[in-house]
Amino acid sequence: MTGRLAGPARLPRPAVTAAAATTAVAAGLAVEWAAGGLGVTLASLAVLVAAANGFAKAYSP
Amino acid sequence: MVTAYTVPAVAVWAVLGLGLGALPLAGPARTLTAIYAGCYGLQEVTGRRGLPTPGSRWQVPQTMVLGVSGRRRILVWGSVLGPGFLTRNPYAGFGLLPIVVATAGGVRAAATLAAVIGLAHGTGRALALLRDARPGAAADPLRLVLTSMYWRAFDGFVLLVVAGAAIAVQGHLLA
Repeated sequence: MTGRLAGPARLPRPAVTAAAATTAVAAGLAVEWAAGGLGVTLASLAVLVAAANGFAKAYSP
Repeated sequence: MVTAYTVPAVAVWAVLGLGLGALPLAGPARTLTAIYAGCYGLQEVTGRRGLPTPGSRWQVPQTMVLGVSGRRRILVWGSVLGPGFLTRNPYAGFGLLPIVVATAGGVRAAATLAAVIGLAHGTGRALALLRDARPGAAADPLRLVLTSMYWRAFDGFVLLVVAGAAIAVQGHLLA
């Protein structure tokens, strides 16, 4: 056993990426819509992006 | 040291927020947020290259930090790196932040959001440097590239969530 799944049980990577990307957009839409569409989720995400960006810039080769 | 990064960041971002909040940009900025976050998010998640990441290519010249006192060096680094506008940034998320500030609509809301964004960016930058200053934290170049790829993918996924949230805000206003 190599530990890797093979054959039809393993989804191709582009499909996984597309599914994850669609889920991400849908999650943002659903949460903001449920919050009333006032932009609170948007603003919170912007703060998260800012913090992560500041931290991740240390990893810019 | 954290203060040297956060104070300039909050100040610069708050001024930017005051400027953007005074302009009637909220509507176009919401649309631009959805387009920008969707396009760059998809690009970063798929690992493709196409759209160049917006921002500066400038790096802090060595003359600004070599041969100066430690205190002055921290001040220079803090003022330049804390707000995040002047130096090269490989992640597209940073370019989205002024656009989101413009969506706030109103001077007070935009300035407050911008100041919090500045605080978050400056704190994140300072904490990364504090972590790197630990003994034995010297980075392996290959690991550095790999980690930057993970951060790029993370940035991309968050941008896609932002795109969804921007669509929801616009949809609520149109409904």
